[in-house]
Amino acid sequence: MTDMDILLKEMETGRMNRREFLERAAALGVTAVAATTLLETSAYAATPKRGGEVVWADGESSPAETYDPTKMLSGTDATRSYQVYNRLTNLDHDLNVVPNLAEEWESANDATEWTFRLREGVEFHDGKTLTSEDVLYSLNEHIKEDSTSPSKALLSSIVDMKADGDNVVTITLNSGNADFPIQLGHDYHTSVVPAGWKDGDPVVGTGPYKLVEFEPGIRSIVTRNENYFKSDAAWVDTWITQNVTDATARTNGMRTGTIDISGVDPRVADMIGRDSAITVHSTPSGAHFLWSMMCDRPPSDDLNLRLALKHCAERQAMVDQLLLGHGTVGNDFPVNPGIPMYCREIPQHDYDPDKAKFYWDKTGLSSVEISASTQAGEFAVDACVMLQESAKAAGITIDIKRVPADGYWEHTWMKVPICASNWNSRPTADLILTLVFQSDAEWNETQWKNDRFDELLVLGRKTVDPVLRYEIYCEAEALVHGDGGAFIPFFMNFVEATRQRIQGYRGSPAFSGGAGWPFEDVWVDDNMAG
Amino acid sequence: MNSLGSLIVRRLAFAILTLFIISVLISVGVELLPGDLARSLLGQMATPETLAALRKELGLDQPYHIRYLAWLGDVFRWDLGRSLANNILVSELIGVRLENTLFLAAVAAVIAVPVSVILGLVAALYRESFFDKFVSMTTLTTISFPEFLVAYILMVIFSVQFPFFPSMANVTHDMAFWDRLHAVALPVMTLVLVVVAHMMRLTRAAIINVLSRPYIEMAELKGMSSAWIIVWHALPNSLAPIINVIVINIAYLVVGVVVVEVVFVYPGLGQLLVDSVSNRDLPVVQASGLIFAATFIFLNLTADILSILANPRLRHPK
Repeated sequence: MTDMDILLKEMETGRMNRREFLERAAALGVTAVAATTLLETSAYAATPKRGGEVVWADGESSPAETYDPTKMLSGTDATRSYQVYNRLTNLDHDLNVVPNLAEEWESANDATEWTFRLREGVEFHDGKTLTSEDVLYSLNEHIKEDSTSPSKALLSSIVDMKADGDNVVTITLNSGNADFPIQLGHDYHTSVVPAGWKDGDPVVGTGPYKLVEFEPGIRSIVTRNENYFKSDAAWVDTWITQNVTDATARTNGMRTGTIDISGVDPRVADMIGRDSAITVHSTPSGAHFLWSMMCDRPPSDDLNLRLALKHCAERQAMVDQLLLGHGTVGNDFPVNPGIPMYCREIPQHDYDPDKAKFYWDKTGLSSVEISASTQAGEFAVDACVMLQESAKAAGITIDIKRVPADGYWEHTWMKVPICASNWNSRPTADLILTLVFQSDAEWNETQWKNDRFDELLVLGRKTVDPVLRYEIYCEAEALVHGDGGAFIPFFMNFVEATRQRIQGYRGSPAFSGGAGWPFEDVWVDDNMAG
Repeated sequence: MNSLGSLIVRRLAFAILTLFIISVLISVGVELLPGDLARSLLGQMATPETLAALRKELGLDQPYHIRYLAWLGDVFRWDLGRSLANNILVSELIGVRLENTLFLAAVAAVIAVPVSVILGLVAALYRESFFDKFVSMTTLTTISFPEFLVAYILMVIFSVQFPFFPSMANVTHDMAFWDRLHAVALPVMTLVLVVVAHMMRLTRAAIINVLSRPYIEMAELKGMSSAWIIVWHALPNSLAPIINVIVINIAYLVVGVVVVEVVFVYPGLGQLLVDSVSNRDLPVVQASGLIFAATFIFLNLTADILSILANPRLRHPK
């Protein structure tokens, strides 16, 4: 046994903490980097341990926070739903769909008919056994007549649902959708509650944690569900989910150790990361900022204007300066390179003042107005200013109109021709394209309408062959890129920070805060407190 | 004392009228804001269909004067209604937060009031001395900083560099009194630093104003010490303005501390009011607005009564 082995053994048995380990290793002439690597690859790092309390801070706060899946809206609601509920399926970190409450599933008739077989013996927190009735009830709450659910539009493709015994559910869609299980795995609204559950009843789910205390807009406390159907998951005893709206308060909480996990502003992430007790996780995602240019009204109905602006942005400079590198360059279609159906062949729209001037001159305009508020992102106005500056080289005058953040989505968005907007990450190309670009979509913010694109969407959804699918999506994405009204300069990383005692945390490209995975994966190691 | 009794009765009647007018103003004000609760809850994800369904569920499809009259009727039956946003009883939602707000204000006032009055007296006693200038400069500095900056500076010193106090003032209802005090230490310090200057400066000015009076000269000629003159002759005669400034600052501690609440993540009423305004949650806005207004009215009434008691001349208006 070498000296290093002895040190590692000491760590594993808990007789030495991380700081002591690094100091002793340094005394043996091992650099801190090498020692940390050793530590992370040792058996010590690999075995999760039960127990501990973790404080999770969320940057949003609203008295409207709820445990009713049909009313959930904020990121905090999503966090809480991941703790106490399960969905039929789940996504792993490579965005593959994996079993959750459903053990297996299969499709028939061009992916219009989906049959899910439920895991047997799953119990709700109150001891009731999960059956297909609960699944039917939970999904129906979103699509029934007077539903106010934000997922109503997405789930409205369901035309029929029936149970076949206690453990089989068959769902029929109005058109084929090969991604349907992914959609169920991603959308936290599809959490399963017991049949007949109404808002106001005690909160009961099948999830890894049981609700103990809940004050909307302040905090919630959950403790481990000892009956959880996954035995190798949910290591932490207690999660406290705390609403902390002030970014500086979150940072201070992280530094002083009153907060263990929190999303952080990309602009301060690197500074926080300098604290040796904090690890920063920056995960490229499909969440994007954009200028929505409405194609049904002047002046942005003119393709020349749209192309002129798309060639005015110094995209990498925006990523570097607005996000301090925590992002990736966008190419005016809403699919990011991490997604399987991302088209690699579409040429990048670069900063090209000559080209921009060429298109601009054809519009005959003297200036163009862009509206923005912080609702579209903390940096939305700064992004406009950067665009305004780089557009000067092409002789384009941009007037920036700052509008109040309060009520932005009502008084500005989809009302004025060009305004700043944003969208969260989606795990498939189909989800974001259908949601925002299909001609008759409720959220078709650019009012861009293209028959060929609509055809391709329907075709792509029901095509199962991956090669053929890729070609279909490539053509659809190219249409959005060239002709569409979305001017997408960059994608934003999800940036989260964890204290050193938090182990097993991984960010997800599909949803900020690891898309619920931390509540199954994370464990606490107070030896790592150093 | 009869005139004092009738004064209180008259002022209470006016208070009720004021509260009524304020409730109308709040109701109209929230109505004038663009959008409604349904819109703000659903945000970017709203569709005409879900909007209509939610409005119907919340009763927002009724004209607003009808909703206001219904709310007013409930208030006369001591029922503040339910929050539109989460269907919790407003009294329940506000109860805990109000308690937290009052606790923070009380602790801050208990420290700030004696400190600033004593500092003011001493500064008046040794006016134009180094001590006077030092106190004035320090308190003016702390009042000139925005309160969130004071908060951050305290946080960096007492929580990050020297971890004496938590950076988040996390209070729960089952907390022991001393734990609670420990938790709110930094917000209390911030508030004290922010309000001391105003009260201290006014105390000093009021005392100095009285010191130029003939009866003070008389007292000096009698051979009284200047400290005794200030406590015995000057202070009672300048109590009225001092009480008024103290009351204004206590009212501020109750209604104006939302920034401090946000920075220290303190679950008080201010944060709830801001959230509810941006949500257009009228019943909660109404209730919090009325509580704030009632606080002002009650404290002003207290100030007037105390001033009258402290100054017999005011009891017999000519």
